[in-house]
Amino acid sequence: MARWEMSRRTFLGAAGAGLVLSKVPGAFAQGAYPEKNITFIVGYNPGGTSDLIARSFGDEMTKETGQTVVVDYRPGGGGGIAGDMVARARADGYTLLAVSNTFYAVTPFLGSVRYDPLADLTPVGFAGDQFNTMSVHTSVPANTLEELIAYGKANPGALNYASNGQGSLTHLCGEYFKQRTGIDMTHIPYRGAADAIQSTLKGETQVNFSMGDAGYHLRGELRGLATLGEMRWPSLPDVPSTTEAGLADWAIRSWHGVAVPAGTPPEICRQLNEMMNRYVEVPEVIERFATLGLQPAQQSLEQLEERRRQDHAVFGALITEAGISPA
Amino acid sequence: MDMLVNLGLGFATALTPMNLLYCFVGVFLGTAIGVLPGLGPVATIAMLLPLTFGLPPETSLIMLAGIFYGAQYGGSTTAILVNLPGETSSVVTTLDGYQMARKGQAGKALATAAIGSFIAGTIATLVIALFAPTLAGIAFQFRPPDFFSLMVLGLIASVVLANGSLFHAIGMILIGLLLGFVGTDINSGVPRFTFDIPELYDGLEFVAIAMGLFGIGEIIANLEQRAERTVSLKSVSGTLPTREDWKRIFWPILRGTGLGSVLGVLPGGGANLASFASYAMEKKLSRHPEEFGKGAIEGVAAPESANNAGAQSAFIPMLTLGIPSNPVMALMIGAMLIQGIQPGPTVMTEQPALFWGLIASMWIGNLFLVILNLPLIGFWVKLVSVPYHLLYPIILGFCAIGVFSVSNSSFDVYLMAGFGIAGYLLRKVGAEPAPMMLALILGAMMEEYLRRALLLSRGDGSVLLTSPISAGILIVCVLLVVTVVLPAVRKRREETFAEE
Repeated sequence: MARWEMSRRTFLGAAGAGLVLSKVPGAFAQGAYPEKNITFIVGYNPGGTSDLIARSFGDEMTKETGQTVVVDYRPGGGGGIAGDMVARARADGYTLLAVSNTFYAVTPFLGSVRYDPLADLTPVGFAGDQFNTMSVHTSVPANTLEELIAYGKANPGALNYASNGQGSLTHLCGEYFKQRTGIDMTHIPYRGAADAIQSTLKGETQVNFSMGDAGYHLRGELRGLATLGEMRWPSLPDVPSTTEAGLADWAIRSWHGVAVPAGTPPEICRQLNEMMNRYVEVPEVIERFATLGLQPAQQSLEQLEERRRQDHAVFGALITEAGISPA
Repeated sequence: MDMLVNLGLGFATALTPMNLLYCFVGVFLGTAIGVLPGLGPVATIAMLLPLTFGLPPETSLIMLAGIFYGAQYGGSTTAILVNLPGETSSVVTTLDGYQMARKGQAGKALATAAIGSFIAGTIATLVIALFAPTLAGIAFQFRPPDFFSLMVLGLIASVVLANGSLFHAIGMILIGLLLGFVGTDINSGVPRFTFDIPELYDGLEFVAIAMGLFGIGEIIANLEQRAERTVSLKSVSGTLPTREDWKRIFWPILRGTGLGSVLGVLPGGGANLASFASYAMEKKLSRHPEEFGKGAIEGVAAPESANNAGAQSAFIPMLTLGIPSNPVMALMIGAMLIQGIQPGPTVMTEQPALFWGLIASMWIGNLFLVILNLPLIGFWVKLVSVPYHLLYPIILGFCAIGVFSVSNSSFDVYLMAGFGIAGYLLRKVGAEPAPMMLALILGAMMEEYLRRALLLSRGDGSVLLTSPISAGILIVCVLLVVTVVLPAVRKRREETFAEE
């Protein structure tokens, strides 16, 4: 029903825009893409990051082309149901998928998806990198990453870390951290970030990788030790990046974007890539993405392809080595 | 004093024009679906859930809650006037309500139901306002073993309190728990009982199962009975309750409210159980039990107060612990998650306007219902007198749309159809599907908390007994089981439930 309401609302806007455009000769040549409604598939329930990205990009596409963008939710299987659906959809540029790197580098190793993560679902658009911060409960006697590692080594069995679920990116972060530092932590999976954060607030778990809300650190409820990656998170200027904290080349990252079925004509892929690269410069889009902890940026088709291959290789190796895969 | 400040905030939220409007829409829709057999609050809320995404969180929950308690009202209207309970919780009301109507006291019976419900709603609102903060405070102390034990208590309570055979109730619970295993195991990521069907990876959609078991199952059962649905309604006149009547209904309303408030809090309790139990209790306590079943006004007042109080206090575990006690509450949790709100003890502190606004809206909604109910009686009766062969395809259609709209999956529609047949068969063998539904909802959560408790204790199962909260709850469980097994109690239990 949300999609109907959404489509009607966007339809009214689209109808208006269409009227204007039809009077501008040559604005869009006959047969130019897009000439009909576009379906934007979201692999999760409404309200999540993927949904907000799909709707932000969808609104911009409607504004530019006058075509209605219908957001269609197909939750289930960690996005796998939506991934399979789009992989089988017509490769004509009228079916888009809101993806994150988990579609390429996590779900295929854990669930039973039918799509090939490296051949199907061509990434054409980039929404942004998501900031994640490693934090600890305030009772943990560690103010820096170094102190935490020392504490963990001196007290084996004392640390539990919360993840957003078995096989989630936060789970990968935890196992990766253990691998890199050699400390001992027990993985406790929760259902989603909110539950995981709650458990660390209560002190049920000591370490958390899912802090996407700077407020917890600023209010002193959790202690942020490091933002994962090269850069500091602008919302948490006093928290160092993992690189600065002495753990260079942190490999487990999270990014979001847009994909189309493999075999979509290259000119349409290029056009979509140019469109998304323009949209991430729109102030309202930047503002909306910032609330999700997303750092928007422009990425070429080649850069996106490189991102998927790199994550597929690195995450895949970690999943196998750390025994995260059920098989 | 805190409570007054909080309620003040609640009324300020609930009385904004938009929230008032949606509260009205909710109770109106609720009454309508309460009138119609087969279309319950689960189907309606599931259908409207995606629509609420565009609304502010408090508005969305106010409307959805209105549907739930509004349905209790609608169900009793048709129970009294045409002997057709639109909802299970008003089955008992048919016993005396319809008899009163036949004696020309329909107006009095409806007024009694409305007044009883309103008083119960008012008191239940105060009960929530008084106890919810305390409970939420306790809930902050809850650790995984405590949650697990609490859910065990819920399941045991639902067996003990289920009407009908104990054997059936236990069987239903076990089937429900087994169905809850379907899906990806959250600790190891291994898919269980999924048969390589991607739709099963996240487990069975409980909305589809609830609508199949209760909605479709009921429709098939209704089609089987060739009941005359000729509604011969004498004009709804009759006086309002007299001073004499007031004396008779005063204590039953209060007792019904008390019983309903307590039973509503228990997982698996809620409105249905409350109405049955309070009817049985009034019959025991009454000085003229022979009048029951022949139009005793207490037989309308008590269960109607109890089901309304139960419907409202069922919000307490959902709002304070994040544990749903019935399918409707599980949907309310879904509605909160859509809005990015994590149900649990933090709702009250982080979303005070939502929490208190919802509570205040329940009182306002009850007021709407009293005002709405009497003038619209003619309309509701017309709705029931639509021939069933026209009505049921529409209801089936709405159920299918409702299930599909939860996750846009046609698989779930087939699932609903399958469980519809199962629901009909269970009815045939006299097994009540409610405990199975509860076990399905709680089963997955129970496993999650137990395994988390064991992970945190590094595999030591004794945490269930060394945590004081968990140990206390488990002792209550043992006491409950003992009372059921003791022959004397068992006999009385059978007698109590045999009366219905």
